Amino acid sequence: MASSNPGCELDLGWLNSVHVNTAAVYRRAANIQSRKTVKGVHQAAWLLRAVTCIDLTTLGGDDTDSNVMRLCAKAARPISNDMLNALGFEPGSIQTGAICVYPSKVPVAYATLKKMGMEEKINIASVATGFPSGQYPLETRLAEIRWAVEKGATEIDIVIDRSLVINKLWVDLYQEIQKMKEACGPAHLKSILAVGELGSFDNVYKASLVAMMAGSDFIKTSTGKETVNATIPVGIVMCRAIKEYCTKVGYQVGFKPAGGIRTAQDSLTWLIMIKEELGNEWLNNKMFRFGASGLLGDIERQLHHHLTGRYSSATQFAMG
Amino acid sequence: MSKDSSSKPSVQKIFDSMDYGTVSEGQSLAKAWLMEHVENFGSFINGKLIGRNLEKSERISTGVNFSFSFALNKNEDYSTALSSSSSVFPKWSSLGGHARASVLYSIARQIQKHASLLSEVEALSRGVQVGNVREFDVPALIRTFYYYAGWAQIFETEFDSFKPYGPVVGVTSCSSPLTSLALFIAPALAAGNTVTLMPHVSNCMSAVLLAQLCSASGVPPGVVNVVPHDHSAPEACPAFTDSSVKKVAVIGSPIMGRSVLSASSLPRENHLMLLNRCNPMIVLDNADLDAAVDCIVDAAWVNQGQDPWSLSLLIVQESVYPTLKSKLSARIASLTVGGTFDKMADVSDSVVDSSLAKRLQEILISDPSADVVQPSGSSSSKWSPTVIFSASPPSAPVLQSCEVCPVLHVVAARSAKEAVAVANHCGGGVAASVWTESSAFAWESALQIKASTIWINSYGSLDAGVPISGRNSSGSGSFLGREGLLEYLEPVNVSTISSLEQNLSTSTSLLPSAPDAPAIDQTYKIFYGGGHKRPSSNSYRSVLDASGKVVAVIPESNRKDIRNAVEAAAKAQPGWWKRGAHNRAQIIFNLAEKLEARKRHFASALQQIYQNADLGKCLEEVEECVKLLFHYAAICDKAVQSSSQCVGNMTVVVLREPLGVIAITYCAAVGNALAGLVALIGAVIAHGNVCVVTTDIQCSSPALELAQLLEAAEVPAGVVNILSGEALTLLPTVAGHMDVNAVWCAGSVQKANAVLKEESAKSNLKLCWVQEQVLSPIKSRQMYEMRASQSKAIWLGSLASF
Repeated sequence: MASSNPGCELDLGWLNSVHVNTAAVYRRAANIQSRKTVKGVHQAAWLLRAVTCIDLTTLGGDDTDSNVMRLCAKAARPISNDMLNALGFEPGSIQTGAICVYPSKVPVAYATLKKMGMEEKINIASVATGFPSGQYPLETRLAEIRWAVEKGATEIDIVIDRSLVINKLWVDLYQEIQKMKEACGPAHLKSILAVGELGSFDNVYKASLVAMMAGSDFIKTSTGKETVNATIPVGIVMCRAIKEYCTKVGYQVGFKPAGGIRTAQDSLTWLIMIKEELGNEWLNNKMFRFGASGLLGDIERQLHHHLTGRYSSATQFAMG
Repeated sequence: MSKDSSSKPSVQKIFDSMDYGTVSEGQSLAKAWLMEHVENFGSFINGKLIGRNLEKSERISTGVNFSFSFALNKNEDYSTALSSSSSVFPKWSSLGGHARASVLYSIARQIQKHASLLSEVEALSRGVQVGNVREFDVPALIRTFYYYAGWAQIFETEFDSFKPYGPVVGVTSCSSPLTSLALFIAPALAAGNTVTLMPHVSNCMSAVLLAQLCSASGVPPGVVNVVPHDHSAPEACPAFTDSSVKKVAVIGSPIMGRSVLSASSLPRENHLMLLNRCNPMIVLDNADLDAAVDCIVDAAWVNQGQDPWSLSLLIVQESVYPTLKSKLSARIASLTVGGTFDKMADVSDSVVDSSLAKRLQEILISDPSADVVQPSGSSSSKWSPTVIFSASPPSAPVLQSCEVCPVLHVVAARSAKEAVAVANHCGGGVAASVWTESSAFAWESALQIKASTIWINSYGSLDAGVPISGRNSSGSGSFLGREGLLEYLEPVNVSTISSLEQNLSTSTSLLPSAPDAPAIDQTYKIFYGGGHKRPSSNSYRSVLDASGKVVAVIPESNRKDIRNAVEAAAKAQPGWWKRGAHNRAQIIFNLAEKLEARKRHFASALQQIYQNADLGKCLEEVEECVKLLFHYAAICDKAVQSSSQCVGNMTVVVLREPLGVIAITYCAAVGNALAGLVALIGAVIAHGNVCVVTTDIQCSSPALELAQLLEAAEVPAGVVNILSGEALTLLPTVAGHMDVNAVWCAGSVQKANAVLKEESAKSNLKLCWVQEQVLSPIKSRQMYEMRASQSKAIWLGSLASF
């Protein structure tokens, strides 16, 4: 793992100067989507890049060892070797950025990846801190983090306590996230803001800043369990907070949209937005991840179409 | 869209670089259309493209260095076009609302069907990015035809007392966007006029295509003609002096606009203009700066900044100036400048107006120390989007009109109040924008900025239902909306205010030979700024009746008195408007009450200057005045003051605002020395304006008597100013005064029009209204309302505030 965000003092003056015009953010989102595009061979390359940025996820109440093991196998070989070959890539050269599971599935994931010799190449992200609601005592939330890290998680996707944002208890939020960061130890801290429950874009921006000030290495849109998930407008707001943090504090924090990203076109739209708002430095899996489960399948279909000119069936690729 | 096959980097390479790659937009439709016409291009007259006389053709280069043969139109093209236009006018105008609506609806449908073709042709013609045309111009065009098809449908019931003018001419510049054609062609057709378009020859292809689409939609031959023009010598162009032309609309370059105005033989008020001038945006410290930066790029460079509402001055509150500067600089530096059909370019550098690059270089050379930001890789030989961070706005052309500076200037202001002041000094008037998350600041700024369109936290939205207009140097008359339609209509059966059988004395004398001295000398004074003043000429003239008897001794004002009065009026106007409608109504009622009390005194004053009038008739005129004042007091708070509508994701509030200072020139020939004057003054002040009245010596005494009532009625100082003198002699001073926003003349139509044409073309483009007789304000209430106020559209974002 690369460096870790050192964070900074909580700056309430900075927070108070935040103004987000929602309608203008929506216009920007529409313009990015209608004016920019990637086609042909560029599209194929961008889709491969998207694959490397996926946190291949399963967060079901019915998760068992078998589907987690299958998930790990898919993460290790997301694109079939013959397709990679046709695209000019070495077999086995492409992996997803990470797999993402519940804490109790970390041990089996770790064991599986280790067996494949992939534990260095694919991160194990575990959700924690009372995912998805965060409505649990701080003590147990912190304990979840320590447990998951101990079992082999290299990234922890925490959920913040939304009530602290809604009531503007920035100091409390800052301190909680700092404690979580501490509990992470060497693992990377990814803070899920659950943007659909924060009430306004101003709050999304401010919560992003507080999470970064407290040392988050990534900020993430959603748990995938809220009614509103990752949308381009909310992504723009968070990216602007990341850019501002980078300008003022000098550290580049990563970004992870999650929830509702299902098609190859969705992934391209996100990459284009990132390129426009943050630049090429964020277009890699150190700085950017998709939280997704179904996305990979659609990307495989699009790559197949690119290579053959024929539309593919969803069942012709290995299941994740 | 097609893939660019010229270079094919490997997937691996792109995977590493994460470049966009090039994506070209299609242009095959435009090329195919041009292949049909390219060697035979000329005027579009009577439903046909006329490319005769190919020997006399010249090669015209478009914005993308695409050239085509153009059959030079000689004067005969204008006469053919205008005669077809006037011969088909009776048929078209009598077609009936529903029939015209059907045709306009078909045009909208045709444009929808050929949207891609139209976008490509416009892009090819003007060098602008095809994406801009597709995103902004074509939808605006379609929306405008739908909107006016609606007005045509309900024409008979909504405008039963109006009729179309006749053949009208529309002129656009070489860089005018496609939208500008829609601004006048759709309302003109809906109202039943016939149209001759005169686009610049290097930007005429989309106009010709639009005319073809009109033809294909069932527009009869001759109703829409296109005669391209090179604008080099408007005075030699017969279209502007042809007696069949009833109205001229000009959109685009200010130099071209003014030269058309000087060349035209039509009265000043028959010109509709919307000229490119400086348009400001204010960014306050509580604005979303990232969103503002996004918006600035589109506001300044969509359509290459050639829309009459394009942004050219950015005023940033000092406390956020450094932050905004670094954000904006970074964005500008990273803009991709590319070709017309390059989908991935942010701005196209193919400009049809070759002077643009030259003017840009002149600006850059004139101030080598300027803090300039351009996209990386900009070359000095081409035009490119340019931002200059400077201490002050570019000095607006004061002595002469010139083209808009093709750069975005950025300046700082200490407060919102100062930012608004800077905006109001930049000489614009079409549009402005305010960025702030505080609704109080947004609303206050919107009300204070002198422009017809204000976008709050956005820029550039237009809708066919929302009027837009220039103010002062940026134009006159309304485009779009109901107001835009009324510009192409004139009232039928106008009734003037009830007229007495009267003959005003025509003779005046400096020193009558046999003065008939009154018991105590009656010394009238001129009235301005709330005070009765001696004229600065220190000169009086006597008004004589038929028998040579002196009936009044009247002060003679000169240009200095005009200057003082306009100054007093301009100072009084904001306060008068801010009093609110109820208070204005009370004051006007009060004036009526005072006049009623002194009815007999005024009647005898009238009797003295009217020859052979009996006192009863004069009393009737005074009673008419009381009635008129009651009318104005009544409508003060009844006139349409605002309306709001939802347009797309925005809410638009359209206010009617006063014009400011209106000069009234009242000639003796009109008669009705009191009632006519009261009809005009009342209209001015009821709508929140102030006036400077000049009346001819012969009819001045009732006006100067009225001045004495104003104080008693508590009309605030400076709101009504009355000067006596030779009204027409003083008119050039009035019409040339830059603080006068409109001129209303009664009487001496021809002379007045000649003066107004001469003066107002050189000064601000003030609104002019010349009437032979004073229209009845009661029967023509709507007309008075339109003439005494102007629209201001305030656009508020309403979608997703949370």
